This record gives sequence, structure tokens and C-alpha cells, in this order.
Amino acid sequence: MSIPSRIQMIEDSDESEQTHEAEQEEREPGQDRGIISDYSIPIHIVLEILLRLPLKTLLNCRLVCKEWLSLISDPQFANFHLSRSQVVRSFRRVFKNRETGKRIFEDTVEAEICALGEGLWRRIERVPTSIRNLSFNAFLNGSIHWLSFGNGRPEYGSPFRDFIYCFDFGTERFQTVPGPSEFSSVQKILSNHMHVGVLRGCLSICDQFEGDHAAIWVMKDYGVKESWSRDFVILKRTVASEPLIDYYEPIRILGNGKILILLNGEELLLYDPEMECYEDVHFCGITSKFHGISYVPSLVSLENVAKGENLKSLSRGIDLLEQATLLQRLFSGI
Amino acid sequence: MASAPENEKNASAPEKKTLTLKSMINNEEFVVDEHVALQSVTIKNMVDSDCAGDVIPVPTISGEILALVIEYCKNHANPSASEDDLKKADAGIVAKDIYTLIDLVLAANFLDIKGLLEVTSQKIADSIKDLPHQDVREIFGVENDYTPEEEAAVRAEHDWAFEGFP
Repeated sequence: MSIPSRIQMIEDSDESEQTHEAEQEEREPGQDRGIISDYSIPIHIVLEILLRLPLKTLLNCRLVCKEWLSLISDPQFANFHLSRSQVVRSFRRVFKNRETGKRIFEDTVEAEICALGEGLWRRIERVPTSIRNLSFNAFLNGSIHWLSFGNGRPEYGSPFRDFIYCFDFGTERFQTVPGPSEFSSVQKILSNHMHVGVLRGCLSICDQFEGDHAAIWVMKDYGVKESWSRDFVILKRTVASEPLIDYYEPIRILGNGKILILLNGEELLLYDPEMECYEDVHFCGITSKFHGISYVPSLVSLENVAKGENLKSLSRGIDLLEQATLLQRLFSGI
Repeated sequence: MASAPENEKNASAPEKKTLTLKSMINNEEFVVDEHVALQSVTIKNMVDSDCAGDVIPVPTISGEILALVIEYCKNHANPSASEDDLKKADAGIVAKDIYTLIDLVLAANFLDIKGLLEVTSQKIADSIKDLPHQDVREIFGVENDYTPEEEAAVRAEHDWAFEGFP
């Protein structure tokens, strides 16, 4: 940032000083606010600061004045803001056999990563586990999390010990996160039908296999096994005849203590823990199933960023097939 | 060196030279090693173009703020300071109330010190991120030019984002 005009001002300092004093007398209230300078904050400084704000604050800052509104609404601003905030990366699974190049099932799944806007997928490493049930909000600590039990590769720990997996977008590594030590092996097996999420900034799991109740577990200190605690117990809305059919995905605990829950990925409910009752939350415009994963808040339209990239939705066929197999195993008593 | 003023003019031995910066707000003076002060592009341009006198007057920046700026420049002129040391020192400098930070960012802008501008802007952003827009308005000294209806319309566009903001 070059500011040659400022030099001029220093050279003419005597004059500036006089002007300054004159203005200071006129603008005593400015002094009360603690602002010594009489210069209003230049718009490029405002820009410097706005670009460092999270999206929510930015939207709020549009209410400051019209000039800020037009600054924040400028598409160029959205691009700058995105480049300042974290790089958007996504990863995908590639199903293929190394030797034959043919697509096959999970055991040789490779992961590829792509920073949004780069348009190139880079191969990273093999996926240690099957990935299913990606939750609405399982992004925490720079990693996306999911539950998978009994499918892990040995180098990621004994498959019967760990069931929470994550992919760290910073280090581009797959890892495991310790689960509650209270979980029995049955609960771990059932975890394939639970979801991991983030509640109040902590990793959480909702264990819905407690009869007419579901328990929400929360990991207070990320990565610390002992910090898991059974924070909420919610009454199920209805007790399904088939316990594996209903799944409860707590999305957010609101300020008033009510819990926003996604039921079976298709119904959004608000649970009141005091009254032990549910309210329907009506969403306009969404008629199909909910299925989402977390995101980096950005003002940039995805359509613009992903221009030229070959985007298409992936079939969930394989995941469903696996789930079906596991259900069979469960019911045949394994 | 002192006995050879011609050489000094050629500025080939800056490590021994000092500059005096004078706040025109409260006439406080600071004697600073030249290489410390030269982190300010504004001052560097003045020195390079030979228009810096013995005392460089700095309008609009109080002595209190100027002292912070000089502390920053001293830290960053120290070649043996590790990145960690600098980070800690920077955090100490910007651990101030919001109005001091605004003055500091204006000073960093005026003196054109990129690093200080960035670290102060970040701290200001961190400090205001949970504030209601009315407070942000006051801090930035911005006049509200919305009618209540216009404000409601802007708010309605992203209603979901305002949970937690009054």
C-alpha cells in the first residue's frame, strides 16, 4: 500500500498541526470516544478488517451503513474474503484396483483431494475405513468425522477398538479419534448406524439404541477419551418397531436449551428437554431428503468457484449395500 | 563516522544513525535507530528522498501510540528474534482496548507498516466479531444512514445469520 500523499502531509506538518487542532476543538465528542485522530477510518482499512471477519459477523456488519453494505455485497469482496479464509478442500473416494485399474469395493479405496478453484484432484492415501453416514455437521478441528466400526485397516488401530475416524484437511491424513470408554462392543457395532456431529463446539454422538430414549454424548476436550460425557438424554418421538430405522442427529443446541434434531435425515424437529416434547420445524422449499455435510462459510457462490469442474452427485448404492449386509449380520446374531 | 559527515549523507552506515520522531499531538519525541524507523515505508521514502530533517514530525499520532509503533518496529528489526518471539511480542502490543487499536491501525496505515497494519486489523476483527452492529457503528464512528424499514429489509435477507446478535 503506497501512500505518497501522506508524505506530503508530514512535510507540511505545521499546517497539518493547525488544521488538526482546529478540528479537534470542533469535534470534542470524538475525543470522548477515545479516537485521537480526526481522520475518519479510511475505507481500505475498513476493508482490511472486514476481510478478517467470519461470515456471520460480515452479514451483521451489512447493517452498519449503506457504504459497508455495498462493500460487503461486492462480488470482488466475496472472492477476497474466500482467499483470506481457509482454503476450501474436498476429498473423494476413488474405487479402483491398483493393478487392473478396475473399480472395486472398499478394500483399495484411494482418496483424492481437491482445493476448490484449483480444479485438480490429487491422490493422497488409501482410505482406512468405509465412509458412510457423513453428518450434517461433523467438521471440527480442521477435520471431518464419521463413524465406522469393524471396517478399519489394522494400521489405524484395532478394528474393534476405534470407531470414530476423521480426515484432517490440513495434514491430509486419516486418523482415529477415541470414543467413550463406556461404549460396549454392541454400541460400537451399532455406531455404524449413528452419526457423529458437533454440538457447542464439541464432537458428539447420539446413541439412539436405549429403548425409548436416545443419549447424546459430548467430547469436552477434543481427542481426550476421558472427556466424553453423556450430556443429554432425549425421549424419542415414537418408538419404532425396528430400532435401526430411526436415527436421531442432533444438529444444534439453541440458546433456550432446545435441541434441533434431524430425524432420519428427512425431518427437522425441535426438542424441548424440559417438556420432553417435539415441535416441527417447517423449512420452506425443501421437500426431498436432507443430506449435507459441513461447509466453510463464504460469500462466494459455489457455482462461480466450481466453474469448469465436472460436478455430479455420487450414488449411495455401495453404502446402502454395505449397511444391508451389516444389518443381516446383526440380525443373524453376530 | 561522526567525523565524516559526507559519508554519513551517503547513508552507507545506517546502523549508527538515529532519527527523532515527534508526535505532533503532544510533542513527545522518540529517538530511534534509523534501521528501526525505516520499517515505516513512509519514513523510508522521506529519508530516501532526502526530505527528512533531524526531527520527523508525525501528525495525528499520539505519543502513546507512537511508542507502540516503535516497540513493534524494534522487535521486528531484531534479527535474532524468532518467529515465535515476534508472535508473542505482537500479541502483547495489540492487547489493548478497541479505541487504542483503531488509533494503532490508523498509525500503521499512516506510517505504512504492513505487518503492524495486518496484526492490528486482525485483532480489531477478533474484538468486534461478536458485537452487535450498533457497537461496530460507534467504534468506527459511522453514521447510521438506514431508515428502520431499510434496515429490516437488509436483515431479512439473512435472518438465519443473526441468531445471537441483538
